[in-house]
Formats: sequence, structure tokens, C-alpha cells
Amino acid sequence: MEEKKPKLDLNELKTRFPGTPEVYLEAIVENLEEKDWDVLNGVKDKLGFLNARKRLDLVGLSNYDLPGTIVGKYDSKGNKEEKKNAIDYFVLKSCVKELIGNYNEKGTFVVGGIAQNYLKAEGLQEEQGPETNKVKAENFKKRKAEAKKLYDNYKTTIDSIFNEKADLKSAKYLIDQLANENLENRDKSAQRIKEAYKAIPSEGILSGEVVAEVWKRDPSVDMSYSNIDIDGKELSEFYCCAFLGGCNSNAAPIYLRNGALSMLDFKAVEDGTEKRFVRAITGACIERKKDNSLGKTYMLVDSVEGSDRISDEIIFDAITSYAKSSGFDRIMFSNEAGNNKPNKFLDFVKRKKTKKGKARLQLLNTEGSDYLEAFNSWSFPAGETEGYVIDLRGDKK
Amino acid sequence: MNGPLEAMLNEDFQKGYLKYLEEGKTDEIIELREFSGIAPVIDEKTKEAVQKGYIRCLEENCIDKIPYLKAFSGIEPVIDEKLTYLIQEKYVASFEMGRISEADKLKRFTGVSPSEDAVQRGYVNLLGKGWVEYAAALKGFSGIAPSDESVQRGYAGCFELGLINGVEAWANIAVKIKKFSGISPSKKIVEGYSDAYKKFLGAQK
Repeated sequence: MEEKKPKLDLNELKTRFPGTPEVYLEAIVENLEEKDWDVLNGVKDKLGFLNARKRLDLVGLSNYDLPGTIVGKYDSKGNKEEKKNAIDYFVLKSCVKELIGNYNEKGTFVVGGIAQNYLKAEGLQEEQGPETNKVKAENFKKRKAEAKKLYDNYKTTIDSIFNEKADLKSAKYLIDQLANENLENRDKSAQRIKEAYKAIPSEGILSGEVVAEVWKRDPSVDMSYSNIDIDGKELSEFYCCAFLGGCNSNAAPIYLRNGALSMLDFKAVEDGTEKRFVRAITGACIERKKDNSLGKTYMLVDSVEGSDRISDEIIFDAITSYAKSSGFDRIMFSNEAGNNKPNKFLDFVKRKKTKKGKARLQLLNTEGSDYLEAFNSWSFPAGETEGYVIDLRGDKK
Repeated sequence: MNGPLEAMLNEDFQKGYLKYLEEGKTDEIIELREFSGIAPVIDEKTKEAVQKGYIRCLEENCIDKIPYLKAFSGIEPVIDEKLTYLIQEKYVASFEMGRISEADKLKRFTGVSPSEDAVQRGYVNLLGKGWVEYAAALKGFSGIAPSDESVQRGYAGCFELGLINGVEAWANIAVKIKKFSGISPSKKIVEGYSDAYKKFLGAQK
């Protein structure tokens, strides 16, 4: 009884999307079925066939998902207003603080997490002082002095990190030195920090301009690749199952169709070509209270997919800007994502001391089933959602 | 807060129900009902969706969901050509593996009895594998005795397996088939499996 799955016609695609690289069209043919194409044929305009514009307007989200809008530009020159360095300073600063410590606002040197661990292991607290155990306290003092000395030795580079001016090469050298020279380098914490630092692609973080842009909602570019192999040529973009090549490829045309969903792409130039490196899958949701009344609007960040080569700081900043400019009350970073990249990004969101929270959410538009991990993947897009919540209006209610 | 929007969003829940009914997703239907507080509207579209749901349950071997679909929607399955085909195929699959309790559920949930053809196909597989006890259970459930053809094919299956796994044991099974069906191996079977048949005669004594 198994029905044969009809494939799409390559020539028809060529006619519909003139100028589109053939390899992309081949990927569509390879990964989608005719019924998915029927869905796509419903995309009558770039805002989506399932146009959510009226619904978005009704809740003050008129600026959400305006295709092609540039949300932010970030470069490595440290322009404070709109631009941020592409290096992940958040991680670098944490590494320095943890490895040796830093000076507080009063100018006192606060010893880092590793030395603190030493105290815990010895059953001491810094404030207990020499009365508790003179030898141990002396040892701690010694360690603190050595950490301070280490800090002072590398002061120039450390300052450049804290001022967000360091270049990646010298920052990398410094972290390596600190991890190696630290007296506690046999401590597990030192290893953990080294690992955390390694997680930043050592040469890969893009130091040029990064552009955060709302997708074009154009089928000829926006169904995107997961990781596919066409005639021996491997193509990969976001490593996410919901795009061409993934096991849920048929989500790709449905995303395009639903105007309550919007992708925020992060692009940079590499080897002279502009590429997309990261995509945040977002949705416009409204809170549905237990008494069935409607509450606040939430930008649901279902997941952040793609490579590690764009700084999480930039991604976080752009998502927040996008949500604010769209008019949302809150952001919900769903913690239901499955892939490595989204989970790494969620760790970053957690480190930003973002509050964990729950909300009963409903996507503002649907045909009955969407692929959103926050709502249990292929399901009706509504339910109690858990994740990290940012209140954009400062209203805690 | 927002009347027109509320109306639109409530309407979306009906789309959700339709999807879930079509897919036979009963747990999700219950969750949606709890979340939304809105009951499904039963109209022609719903009836179509429920019918698709019944088909899906049969196609995906989830017959336990059938009573839930029925209870939730209040809509009985329409026993059309497609559903009849699927129900009978499901019977065959159950019979062939001796899953009589599953077949019993299918009968209770759909109200459709197994066809003569489905029962005989069940016998062929059960007898051919030597599962005589299951064949007896099938007879008890269906009230249909195995046909001569089914029994002969059953003997053939047994003797064939005997050639691979040892004639003696399978001759004993053939004796059980004889006792159960009251039908002896045909001339064609006797000629085709003469060694096995001799053992069979010996085992009968």
C-alpha cells in the first residue's frame, strides 16, 4: 500500500527560479516531494501565503518579519553604538576571571575561581583568616599573590580583553599562558576552562563584518541546506534537520509559508563570498493564560542553528534588538533544542544570567502543525514552553 | 484583550484538531483540549478527518487508538472499500502471527468480521509453520474451519521445513495438523515428500 513519492520537476524549478544555482534546485528535488511543492506554491507573496500580517498588527508586532531588514551590523573595530567585536569577549573575560581573578571596582585584587576551589578543597574560606589554620591560610595568600603577579605580568593584554579591544591571536596566547602557568593547572577547573576556551573556534571566529538580517522569505534561497551531498559535492549551511538534506526537510517550505515564523540570518564574507553562518528560528507567539485570556507577546527563539564562527554575544545582541524593534513584550529562548549549536548558545544565554521561566504560548498563526522544537516538533504550535526569558518592557507581572 | 485575534486563534485550534484527528494522534488531541479549553467542532471536515484517522491507525498498526478516536469525536468509522481492505489485511497480519487477541480487538473496535480469505491466509501461515495451537485459536475466534487447500499448503510448509530441520519432528507436527483439521495429506503432498510422509505414517501409530 506504500504510495510512490512523486518528485519535483527540475525544469519546472529552473523556470520558476531563473538564475538560482542548479545545485540548490537539485537539492530541492532531492529532498522535497510534490506535496511540499504544493505547500510552496501557496507562497503567493514574500510575506507568506499564510499571511500573519493582520494578526501581527493586532498585537503591535508590525515590524516583525519584514523580509530583508538588517537588524544589526557588527565589526571588529569596536564601535560602541551599533557595532560589536566579532570575538566572543564574554568567554575570554570569564576565562581570565576564572583562571587568575581580576581587580574589582575598589582596586582590590579578587582571586579567581581556581584559587577559590583550592580554599574549598582545604575546607577554608578567605574571610576565615589565619586563625583557622595558619599554614593553609599562608598557602592561600601565596597563591593569591602569585595570581596577582600573573595578572600584572599580562596586564596589557588583559586590559585589552576587558576593554574589548584585544585581537584574537594575543587573547588566545594569553589564555594558553594562563592555563599553563597557573599554579593550579592540575586542577580540574583549569582543564575545564581550557576546554571552554577551546570551544571558541581558535582561528574561525569571523573578525570581519557580521550582518544580522531577516531572511528574504524567498524559496530560491531560504529553504537552506542542512548538510547534503550532490554529485559528490558536500554542501552545508546550518546543520539543522529542518532544512534541505535534513530528516525534516519538509519543514522548510512550511516555514516559508507561515508568516508568524521568521528567520534571522547572520552573514559574513569569507574568501570573498558572502555566506550565511547562523540562523535563528523565531516565532511570534502570544501568551494564553489558564483562563484562556490572551497576555503578553513573546518572540520565541526556537533554536539558533549553524556554525560556532559567529560570536554568541553578537547573536544574542541581534536577537534582542530584533525582538525589541518588532515590538515584543518578551523573548523566550526555548530550551528544547536538540543540536549542539543551539545548546551551546543556550549555555551562553544562561551565562548572561537570564532568568529561567515558563509560559503558555500559542504561535500567532498556523495551518495546524508546524515544526517547532519548543512545541514538540511536528505539532500544533501551542503549549507550556520552558526556557530563558527576557522581559523587554521591564514589567515583571 | 483582543476580540478579533482571539476568534482567529480559537479557529486555529480547530485546524489543530483536524490535523491530529487525521493523523490519529489521540494523546495530542487530549493535550490540545486541555490547553485550549476549546472543544472540537464536529462538521463534515471533522468527519473526513476522523475517517482518515481510522485509516492511519490501521496503516500504522495503532488499533488501540481507534476507540479513543471514536469516543473523542463520536464518529463511527465508515466501512468503505479502503477501510475494508485495511481491516482485512490487518486481520491477516494478526492471524499469521497468531495474535488472536489483537484480531479480537479489531473486531470489537470496527464491528467488521474477518473474511473467509483472511482466515484461510492465516491458516496457511500458521499450519505451514507448525503453530497448530494458534490455528485452533483462530478457528475458535472465527468459527471458520481451514479449507482443504489451506491444510495441504500447511502440510507442504511443514514437510518443507522438515527437509531443513529434521523430518522426525515435523512429521509429529503434521500429525497434529491431521488431528486438528481431520484432513489427510493429498496425493501430491505424499508424492512430493515421500520420506517425510513415511515418518508421518510412523508417527501416527
